[in-house]
Amino acid sequence: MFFLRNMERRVTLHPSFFCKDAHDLVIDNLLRDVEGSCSGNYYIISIMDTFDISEGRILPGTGMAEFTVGYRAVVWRPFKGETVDGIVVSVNPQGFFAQVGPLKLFVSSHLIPDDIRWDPNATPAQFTNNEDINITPGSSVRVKILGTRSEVGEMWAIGSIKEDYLGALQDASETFGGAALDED
Amino acid sequence: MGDVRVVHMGTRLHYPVTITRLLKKPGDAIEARQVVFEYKFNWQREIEEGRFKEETSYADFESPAEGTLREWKIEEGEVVKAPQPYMAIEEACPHDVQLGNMCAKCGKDMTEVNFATAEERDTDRANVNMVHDNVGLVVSNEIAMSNEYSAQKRLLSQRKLSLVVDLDQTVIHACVDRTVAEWKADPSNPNYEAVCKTKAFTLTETHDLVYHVKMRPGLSDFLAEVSEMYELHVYTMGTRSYAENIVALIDPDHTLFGQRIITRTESGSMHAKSLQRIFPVSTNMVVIIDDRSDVWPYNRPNLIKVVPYAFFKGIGDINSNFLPPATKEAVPAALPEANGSAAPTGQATTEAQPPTAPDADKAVLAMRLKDDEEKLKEQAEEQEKDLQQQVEDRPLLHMQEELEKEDEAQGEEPKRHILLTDDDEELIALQDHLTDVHKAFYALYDKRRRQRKSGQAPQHKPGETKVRRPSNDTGVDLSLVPDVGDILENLKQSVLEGLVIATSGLVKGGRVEYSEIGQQAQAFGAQVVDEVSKRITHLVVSPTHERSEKVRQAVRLRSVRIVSQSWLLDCLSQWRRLDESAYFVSVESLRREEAERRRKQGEAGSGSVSRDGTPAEDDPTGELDLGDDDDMDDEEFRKLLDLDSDEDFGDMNTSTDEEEEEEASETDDDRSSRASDGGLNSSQETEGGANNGASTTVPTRTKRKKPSGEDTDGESDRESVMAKKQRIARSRPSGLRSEAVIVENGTGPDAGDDSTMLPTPGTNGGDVVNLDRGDEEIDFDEDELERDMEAAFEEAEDDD
Repeated sequence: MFFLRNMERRVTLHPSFFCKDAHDLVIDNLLRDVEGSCSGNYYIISIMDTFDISEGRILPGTGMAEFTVGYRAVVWRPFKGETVDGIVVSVNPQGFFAQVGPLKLFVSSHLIPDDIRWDPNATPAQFTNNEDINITPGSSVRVKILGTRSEVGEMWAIGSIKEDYLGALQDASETFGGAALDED
Repeated sequence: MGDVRVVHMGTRLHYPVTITRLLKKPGDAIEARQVVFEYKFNWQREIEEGRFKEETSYADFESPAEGTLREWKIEEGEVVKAPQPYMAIEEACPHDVQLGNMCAKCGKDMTEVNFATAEERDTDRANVNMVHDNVGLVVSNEIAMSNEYSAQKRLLSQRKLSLVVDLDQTVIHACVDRTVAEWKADPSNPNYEAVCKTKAFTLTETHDLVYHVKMRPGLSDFLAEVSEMYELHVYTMGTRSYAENIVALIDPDHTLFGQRIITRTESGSMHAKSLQRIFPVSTNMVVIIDDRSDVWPYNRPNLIKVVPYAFFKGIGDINSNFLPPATKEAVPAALPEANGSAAPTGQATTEAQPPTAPDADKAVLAMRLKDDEEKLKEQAEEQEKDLQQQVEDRPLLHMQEELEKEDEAQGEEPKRHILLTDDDEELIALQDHLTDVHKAFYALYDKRRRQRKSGQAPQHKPGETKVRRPSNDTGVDLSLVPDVGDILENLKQSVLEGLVIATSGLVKGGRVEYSEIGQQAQAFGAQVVDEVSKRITHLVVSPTHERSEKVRQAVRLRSVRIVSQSWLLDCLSQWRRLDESAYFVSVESLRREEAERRRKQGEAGSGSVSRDGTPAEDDPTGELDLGDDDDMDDEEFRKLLDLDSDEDFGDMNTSTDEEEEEEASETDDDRSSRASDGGLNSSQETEGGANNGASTTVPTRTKRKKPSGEDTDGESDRESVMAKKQRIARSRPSGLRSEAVIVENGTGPDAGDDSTMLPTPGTNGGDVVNLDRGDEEIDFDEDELERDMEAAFEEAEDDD
């Protein structure tokens, strides 16, 4: 789910950048450091604006200046029970991995409907019901998240397609309709 | 649904305990940490110093698992004396597939540990990593097994095996030297033809370096044909993106390898490759092709070693920073066609290797150590540096320039020099081997199935613990699967069977048996020895050692075939014992020199030492030589024979081998001590007192002969035994030897006491005495022998 969130961050600036554009440099640094990062619980997708850049304070010893910056950013946090769309990146007998934006997600073969089986003889190997559904790298899938786990700078999730309206998406236009965005 | 899990009490209870009450009935739902039974136990309370009082306490037992109770394994009132299972619980999720410590079936966090679960962690329930492209995903043993058996069944029904393919220098050769691009753009360049077949790609993480990739000649046909018999996997020490780019080149439509790619990111170890990473249960149906055998420390039986493919001369494996340093002897002489200018290129090849080549053993040892992140980073940086250097140095350009320069120096008119040649034929032989292995495997498998059908029990290896599941439908029977490692071994063993090989200049430091080349030769059935003796059938000589001491020794022995190292390498590569005639090292000059030297020494020694005054101290190889020198005329022959002992004595002293020199003086000492013993050499008694009168020599000889001694080589055989004994004796503190001599004289202390005083690894002091006697025995025997020889010679003369 996406959120707009107010946050604060301390940015340091090297003395050689002390000039009238220092604040712009601080914002540049902030964008570079923060955008696309994962804080553990959520991904910071984009910084909307910064609203408060403090006076710089010189850090003793190094001469670097430290600014405290308040900013507003779009963050995305995957929730247990949430339904997301993703692209399959690899398949193996145990299940398949999909990429949901920055999040890596695994769907175990136990959580794939029973009629969709692992077929190692197909090229490329795939999960298929031998009719219209085959899940190979590159397929689009709709997955329900069953659990997430996070460590510093990284998150992953496990999901299921063993429910109604989940699984391989037939129509490409369905794929990036921004299902996640529409929620809420 | 659900799996039944039997839960154990654990070791933390104060046994013996008495179960007082069971709180749940079979069928009840149990939550984690819910109290399931109550128990009591007795214990001693310390009231005051040294006084105890027995007390009874009551406690609750919490369930570590949740689910539905199936049955109790204990009952109320029971006294439990030791840890035992207490209940069977049907769990909703067995947590047997986990991704990064999270159950992949129910999403539960597996790292959760509380008092109840402390002894059986959930994370331990899945610990087998068997997915190619991800390290986070682990499964339980049961799942791994069932997966692998179903994979094996599938392969059996398709009549295929698995083949694990290494990339760098096995099927392709890559470099980042931009010279390649320049040559490729210039049709007038002599190397254009070879280079235009290379392909290129860039990797963003190495700053858009252009990688030039040359596929081994015939690769696409090879892969296409081999994939009929094998399911192909890639296992490389390159990075993921590198591997994927290479695979995209050699398998553009992903029909051969599919997603079965494993790289150093997923390998688990940074130094060693392990089949267990992909086939955790059984490697019975897996064959490996790789140019490095040292990176497969645990799977040697399944490995077919390939001659490294070195297309870009002087550039090794660009991913080798992650592997233990290559040992030098493992690098074959990849010499280009033998025009005069081959030398500098060859040199460059060797120089490009890591300058330090420590013991292979050490490298293997280091492999076992846990890799840490830091090291990985270090290696990655190192690799980047190396790549950068390659870009700056442009070794190919230099080599080409050098080639041309040399020509100018020789004043010849400049001609086109081709540095890069595209003449590798390894894949043809390799395909044959793979076909052979495949054929042999399924022949054996079919045979076993026929036997099974006709009612004969198949032969199981003792100690086979695998779960066998005969299936009756598909004609596939896992219990009959032979081990491809055994088949490979059988195929290989017959190649060089019966040969005894010594080497010269191939192994630097250490014993040949443990060297890479030695181990390979042994895998192919040859026996590898360090010393040149009459037992050896082949002496394999490196180009730089064609006039070494070993070669000289071998020249004296007529039976030894002296061949260049490419003979051995070609045999190992083609799995055939090749005809040696094309590989003989020219030793004519050496032979002549040898004869010359012999004659000179003979002349020099003739006047100085009288024959009778010197007890024989001869080198048996010298004696053998008598028949060897065909070109010698009778006169020389006689002279030689006459001066045999002296000359060989001189031989020893002039020899560069220190040991031999020592040996000579050594025996001198012995001799003098013996002289003081009464000087009665001929009546010297052997240990067993077996020497009597005229029959002296015969029993001694037979006694000394090795049980495995070869046909007619009594001399050399004895020589090796004797030399060994002498060496051992020499390595002892000299005091002991004199001690032993005293023992011989009958005045010394008991030898057994010595042995406790001077412990020597390998043998005890008691042996010392024997050994020293052995020395004397030998000397004595030489004497005897020489007399025999003389007699024989005189006879021969009479015949003339």
